[in-house]
Amino acid sequence: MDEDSQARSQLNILRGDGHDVVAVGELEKNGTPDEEVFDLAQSLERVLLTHNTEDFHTLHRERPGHRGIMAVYREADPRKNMNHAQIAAAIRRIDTSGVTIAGDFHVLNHWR
Amino acid sequence: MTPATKRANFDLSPEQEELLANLRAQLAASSTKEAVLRAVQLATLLFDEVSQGNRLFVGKSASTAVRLVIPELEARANGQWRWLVERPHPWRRQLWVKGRKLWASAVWLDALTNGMGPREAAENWDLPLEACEEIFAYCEANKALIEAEANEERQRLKRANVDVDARAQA
Repeated sequence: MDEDSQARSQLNILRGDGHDVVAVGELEKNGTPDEEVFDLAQSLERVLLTHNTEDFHTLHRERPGHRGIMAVYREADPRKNMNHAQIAAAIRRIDTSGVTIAGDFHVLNHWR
Repeated sequence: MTPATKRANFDLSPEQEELLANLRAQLAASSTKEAVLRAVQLATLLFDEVSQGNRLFVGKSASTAVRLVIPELEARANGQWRWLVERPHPWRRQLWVKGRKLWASAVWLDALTNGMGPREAAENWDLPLEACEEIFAYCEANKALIEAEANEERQRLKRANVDVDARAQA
């Protein structure tokens, strides 16, 4: 989980759903640049969850063959944003949909 | 010798006129001009206090007082934020949480979206309460910038053929 997504309550919900989740902060890597977070996810063979949609979409295009990226686009209006429960529900939907995760870039807003 | 004075003319909507009338009544001012000048003095006093790093609190007693954050005052006074810093980014200009790869708006919007205030946000993001109070004050005072950056991201994604408003077909 990227640093901008590692709110404790989000971690708790995802773990409650049975996901094996590790946050950048739990690896004592807070403050790590995007490129290194991307590399870290690959070395740990993990799908990356981020709210930094545009920057990680750029990395997705530049560095294909990754383990998969799930991004949440954040509006400036909090009423339009996905809350922690909705993000977890979107991940459940994508998980059971059968779509390919590895190598792909998924905007979770599409699955709300 | 008569001191130099200058006439100020400006248009007022009915709502603005009512606001001034209420202000005059509340301050028991003898004229609208006096009411405005006294409000200016009060705002200046508050701004000076905040500029010196003092915090404003309201409450019936010291033990129950809660901090009063006036974003417009704090944003101007804290040209130098304690918990927020600039970080290079190709197009984002909002401030980041010091020592973290975290935009101020990431914490603020996450908190508001999930019905949390600064205290819950501090626990949720492993940040000091003071840092979250500053994040909230900064974001409240910079809503236009945060909105512009969200729109910029949307447009950039659109140019890269990513429509964030699309719905999954699976």
